[in-house]
Amino acid sequence: MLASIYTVLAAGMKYWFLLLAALMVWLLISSSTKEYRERKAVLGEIGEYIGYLEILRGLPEAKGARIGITRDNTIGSGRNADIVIRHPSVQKSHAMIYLKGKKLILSPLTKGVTRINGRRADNAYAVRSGDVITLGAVEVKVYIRPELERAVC
Amino acid sequence: MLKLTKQSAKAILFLQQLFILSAFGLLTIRNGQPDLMAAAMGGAVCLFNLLQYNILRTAFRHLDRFVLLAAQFLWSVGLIVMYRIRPEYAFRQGIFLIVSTFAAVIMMLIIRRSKDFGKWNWVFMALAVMLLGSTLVLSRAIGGAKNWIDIGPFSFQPSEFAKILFIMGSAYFLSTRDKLTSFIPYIAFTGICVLLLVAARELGTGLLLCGTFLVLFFAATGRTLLTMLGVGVFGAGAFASYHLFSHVQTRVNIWRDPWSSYNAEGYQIVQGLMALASGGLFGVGLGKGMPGVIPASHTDYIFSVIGEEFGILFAAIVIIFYLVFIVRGMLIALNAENIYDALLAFGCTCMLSLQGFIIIGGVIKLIPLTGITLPFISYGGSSLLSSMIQLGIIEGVALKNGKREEKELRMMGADVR
Repeated sequence: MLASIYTVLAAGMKYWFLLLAALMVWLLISSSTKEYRERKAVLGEIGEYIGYLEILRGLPEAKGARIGITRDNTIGSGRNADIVIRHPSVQKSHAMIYLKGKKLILSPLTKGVTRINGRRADNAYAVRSGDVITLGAVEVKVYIRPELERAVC
Repeated sequence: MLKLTKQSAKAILFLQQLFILSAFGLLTIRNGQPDLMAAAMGGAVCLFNLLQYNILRTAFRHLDRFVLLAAQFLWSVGLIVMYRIRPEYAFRQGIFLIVSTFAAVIMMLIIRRSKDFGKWNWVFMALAVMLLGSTLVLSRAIGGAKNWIDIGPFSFQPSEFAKILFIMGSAYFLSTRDKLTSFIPYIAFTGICVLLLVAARELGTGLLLCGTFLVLFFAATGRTLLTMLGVGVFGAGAFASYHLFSHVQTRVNIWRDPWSSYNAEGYQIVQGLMALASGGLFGVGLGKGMPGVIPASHTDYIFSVIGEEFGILFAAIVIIFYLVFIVRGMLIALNAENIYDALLAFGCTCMLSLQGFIIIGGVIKLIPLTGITLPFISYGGSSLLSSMIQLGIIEGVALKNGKREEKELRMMGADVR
């Protein structure tokens, strides 16, 4: 009895095994390529960053958060800004931070408060790693990748 | 905020468990009465894979899970086929599997912490030559090849461990030297290893070392002309050994026409081919084939047993699993921080894939048959241990990469899951 059940099962289950193996290999390939693509995209974006801004004061819920900066960014509370800082004291387009030559330049765009290390900035100024920028009531610290910083000095 | 998430592999693991359980479930009723041993074995294999995957993933956050899952499927198929041929083989292989998992973990820990081993590589190289030389003195012959050494109740195959030492020596030399003359000790070392292997009649492993050497040399230096010269020297060596050694001639002759010596040397190849042919596309069903008539059906010829009972389509999927393994291994190598790590991971990937190609090619009569094992699937403690150590090296490099990437991502404020 068992022997005949086995014969039938063995003949039928070979398709089941094939199906399982094919599904497994398909899942393995698809999830592995998906993970690879996502990783590449994230790492590519990180590779674009020339440094980051670390939030020091003014936004208690985001204290210590790091925001990557690329070669060219606008900072503001508006939706169109590259770096969005939601705070009533921050203007919609508050300032720009960009790479000019090998220097990182901070340039205020509005009459709102913009300070570098406590001194009011009315025009564009170069910033370095460790400088503290005040935008309205929010303080952020600049960090530039060491390899870029070295090229400046 | 940027986020790096890992894809879930739970579905793959679930399908794998389903596969193992249903295959062992089928084996349970094979003999007309319930064989509870098969059910127990199936449960044990499932539990082992599940525990191994989860423990390793928790212990090492940056483990490359896809490489591990591919290897897990391969050895599960091996255990199923071995249990079907003779349950004792599967039990012993299971114990080897547990032991070699620990070896792989130890290797991962070593590779994760280490840079290249510097002066120690000379010791590794000497050890490799000694291991290969020892077979000539102390060995007993299995199937014409003198490659086994008995120590008390255990017997092991020194060439399997010489392979790993060879990869480590290669990675060291090719990453630290760039002048041609400084490669001379390394080239001499390769030559001696291959000669010792040919003298021990271990042609498969000799071919494997030659192939790995050429691929690694080309990958590391990018010199086309020199690599072609190497291929030429290798071809000349193969031609010379064909004329010098009778056992090489026999191998080539039975490859060209196994049917004329069906009752003698060609028997194994012919049986293997007939098994593949009788399996057809979908196979005859697990337990319905006749692996008993194929010599070495549980070691070198396990691929033809898979082809017979599961069908050639399934066998092709097994090959795709090897391909997934290879591609992931290469990605890990490409992603490595320094050339030494890259060559280490690439060397192991290359060694495993060439090994699979040489034996599968031999079984399907694409190239002359040289007896080596199918990595992860074939029965054999030394072979499995060596494959697992190579898996450990690849994973170790993956761990290093993951740690470096995480540091970079965290610095720029991205999140890693």
